[in-house]
Amino acid sequence: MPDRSTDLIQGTLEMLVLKTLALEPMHGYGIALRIEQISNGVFSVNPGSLFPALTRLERASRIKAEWRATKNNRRAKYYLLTERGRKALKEETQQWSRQLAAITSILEA
Amino acid sequence: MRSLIEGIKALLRKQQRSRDMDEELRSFQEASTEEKILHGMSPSEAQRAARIEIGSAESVKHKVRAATWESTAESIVQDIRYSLRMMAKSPGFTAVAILSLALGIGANTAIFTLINNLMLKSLPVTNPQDLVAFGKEFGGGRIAGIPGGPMDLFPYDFYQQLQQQQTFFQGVTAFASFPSMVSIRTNTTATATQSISHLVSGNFFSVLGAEPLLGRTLLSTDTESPGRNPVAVVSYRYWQQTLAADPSVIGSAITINGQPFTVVGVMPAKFYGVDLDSDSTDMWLPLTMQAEVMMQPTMLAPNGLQWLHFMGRRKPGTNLKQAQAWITAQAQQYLSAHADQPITALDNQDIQKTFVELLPGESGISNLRSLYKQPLHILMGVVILVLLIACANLANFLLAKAASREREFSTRLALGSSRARIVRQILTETLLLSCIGGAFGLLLALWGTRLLINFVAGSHSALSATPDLRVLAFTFGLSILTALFFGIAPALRISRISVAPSFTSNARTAASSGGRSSRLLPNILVTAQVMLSLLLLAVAGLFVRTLHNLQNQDFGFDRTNVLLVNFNPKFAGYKPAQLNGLYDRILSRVEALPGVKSATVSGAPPISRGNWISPISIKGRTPAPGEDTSTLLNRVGPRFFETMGMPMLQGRSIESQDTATSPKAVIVNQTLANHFFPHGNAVGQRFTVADPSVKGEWEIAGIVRDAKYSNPRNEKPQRMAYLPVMQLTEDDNYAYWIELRTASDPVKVITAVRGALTEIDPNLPVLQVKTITQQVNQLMNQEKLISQLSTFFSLLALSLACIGLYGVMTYNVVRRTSEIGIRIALGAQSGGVLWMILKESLALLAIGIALGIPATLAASRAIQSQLFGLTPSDPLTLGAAVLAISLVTLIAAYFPARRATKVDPIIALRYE
Repeated sequence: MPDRSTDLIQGTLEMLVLKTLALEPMHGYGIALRIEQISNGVFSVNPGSLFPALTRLERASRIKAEWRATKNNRRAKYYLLTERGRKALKEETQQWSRQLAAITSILEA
Repeated sequence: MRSLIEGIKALLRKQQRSRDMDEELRSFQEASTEEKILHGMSPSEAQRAARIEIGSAESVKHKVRAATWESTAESIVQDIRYSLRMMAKSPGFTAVAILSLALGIGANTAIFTLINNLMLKSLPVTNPQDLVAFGKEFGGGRIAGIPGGPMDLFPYDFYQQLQQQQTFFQGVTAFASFPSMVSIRTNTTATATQSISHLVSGNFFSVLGAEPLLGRTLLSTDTESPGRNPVAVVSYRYWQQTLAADPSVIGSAITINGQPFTVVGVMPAKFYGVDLDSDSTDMWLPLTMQAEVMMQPTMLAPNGLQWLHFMGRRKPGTNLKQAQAWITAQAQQYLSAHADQPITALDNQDIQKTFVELLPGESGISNLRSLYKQPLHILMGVVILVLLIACANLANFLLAKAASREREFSTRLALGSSRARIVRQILTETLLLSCIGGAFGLLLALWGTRLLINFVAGSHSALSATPDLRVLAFTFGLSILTALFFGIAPALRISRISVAPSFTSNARTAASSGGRSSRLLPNILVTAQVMLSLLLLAVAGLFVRTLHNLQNQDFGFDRTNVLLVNFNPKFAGYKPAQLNGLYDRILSRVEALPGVKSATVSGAPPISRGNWISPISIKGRTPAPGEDTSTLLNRVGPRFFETMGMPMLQGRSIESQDTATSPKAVIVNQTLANHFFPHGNAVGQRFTVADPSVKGEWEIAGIVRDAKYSNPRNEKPQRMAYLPVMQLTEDDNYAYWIELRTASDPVKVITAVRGALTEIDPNLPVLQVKTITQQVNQLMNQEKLISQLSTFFSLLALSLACIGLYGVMTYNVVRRTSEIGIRIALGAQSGGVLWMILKESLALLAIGIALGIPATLAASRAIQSQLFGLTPSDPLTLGAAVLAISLVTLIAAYFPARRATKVDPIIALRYE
């Protein structure tokens, strides 16, 4: 585990969760794993941040949850992206890109 | 919205959610473990790593819960419950805090509602701000002559004249400057009842802009000619109470003073006319029916008799100054035309000095307003001070509580609470306190307002008893602000608390005695309370003594065993020719009653607010230029002075020999005799009275001692002449009061007197019966009000200050327990300890008094006009107030000090 964990800002974590769920429905650990894998270990999400984020997204109707059976025939809560969530993801991605471009140009100026 | 529903669902299914969360975390942990095993960790290592990853399951669940709004709601509820528990733990302080708040808020709201209603209430008509009153218009009556100053009573023909000109006003209305009591008979009631009526011009309702509830209002056509159009518009209350709220009353007939009138309209409940006074008007009658309604000769003739008030509705965009100049010119022209021609230089001067002031008319007119304006404003000042004292108590209470809970806060911080959470809890507590106090305050306000209005205006007035929302909001807001402010202070201190130091023993001792600065604020508050209490006590003392002085004056007549009976022979239909016989019958019958020593009649009570005044001219004496020869007049029956206990100084009293046929005799008072006849030869002189209804020359037959005739505050006696009622004619022959001298308590003979009168004539209405003591006391109602209320509030303030001091001192002693314990253990005597604590209180007392005395002197000067028989810096009152507050303070300080001496050093030191 890296000794300097980078803490994601609250809003960006939610955006990353939405993106992860855009590909396929997943349960909590799956989301955390995917984010860690794709970011090459830069971001590791602990449950203390992940689950509150998932709750907030659920409240905002951007994702919905259903209990399903896992591969091992256990019960796990799977999250799916809703239509609203899809739209929100698109908007937030665009906004993030704009901000990123702005910061980049300032840093390179 | 969805969040709200989801949140409520979540609250209801807490356990289920918790289990779900547990299950989800478990599956997370398992999945994590499996993943790590896949990556090559051993199962036990994997499990351990996974568990570390998750951390505390409880903490995760907590974070999840905190992500949504319902956890905040829950914690607020928790805070509230905790606050309630804390408040229940110290019931004494809580009760005092709530009570102080409630009283402060309630009293303020009650008094301000009354002030608002009396002073500021707008007439319930459309666009009241366009209404103007012509002159100050308090006090009514009828006068003649040239005002020579502000004019607010006008003649009827002047009103008619104004109707022609429409430049400045949309309309000008005229109405009688006094109500008329009338005798009513409806076809449902057998006996006659009395009601209050108001004579108004036809355009009264249209100028005011008031619409009727049923039927119609008066129209201009109703007052076209005198004696025609006997129509009436009744008030809502009268319609409800006497006419049984019958809608078919429109068009029905009622008999007013024996004349048939038609009811044409009913006004809505909130309309009370223009006069906001004790007895609200029952019905409005056309001005042209004046002679029938007042049962007196007409006052509508163009003879310059001034008895009407005017109000007008401005045209939009009218310049008030111009309008005022115009109406003044009109009035002066009228006076010139009606003055004795050729106009004397003196009269001309007076005419030039006459003016009409146009004042805002939106609040109507009110006698009560002018009487009570000052006292109520003073009371408001008093009540605000009490509120401040109450807030200071609340503040002290909160500060003490917060300081005593430092350990609790440190503990909570150590256990992981956020500072914000603690601050929120403190604020919740203080807000809760304010809200509870405010709720009680509201109840008190409702009750108090009703009580106050009843006292000031009687139960039939148009003053509404609903508390003013603005004031309620203000006082509520003030107490919440206090609570917040003094709740925040300790809360901010918490942000500076660090966890460790409070736990060490040394720190406790150090904090307890070294915290001088932390005692500064409570001490300041207590000093302020002492100061304000001193002020209030002194002011109350001044008012009490004023009332006492007023009451203990020599009024010039016997104030104990006299009964007054107000009756009205006019209503019963007696003509002037029958009156003297009636009086004889009444007096002989009543004097024969057991317990009655003597009886008499009079036109007005021996002392009352309204007065009959007229200039007189002494035969053979020319008045000096500009001399005011006005004299009070009253018409009385035989043995008036004997009945009233007024000793004759010279000559004789009015006897039964003074009949209609014997020579006209008059009794004057000492002041009149001294003024006109300084050489003491008044008896035998003659004079005439300017009032045209009093005809002929009157010979002075006796001189009676001076007395008070109207305002108890008048220290200089006025000139008074008593005319025998039997010798007057027409309207002046009517007497309305019977006075009886009783052997013992006047109340005992009331039933017998009523019975006797009914025997003589069952149709003779008895309007009121009261003792002379009641009559005199009624004249001092404002003084009584302000004296009672200021005493009540000052005692309240004193108790609050006392409790405040006691609380602060006790708290200080408790905080210093360890220090005191050490001192005692080191050999301090109990006397020394007592003094050590006591001297702090004494210092506060001394400073409070030192600051309070100049404040009191300033305040007393401000209320000077209300005082009677005292100077504002009356040393006796001030001294008594200082003494009272010192005594109370010492007692309040003694007990905590004594408690300090009882500190057992072993116990105190043990709890280090």
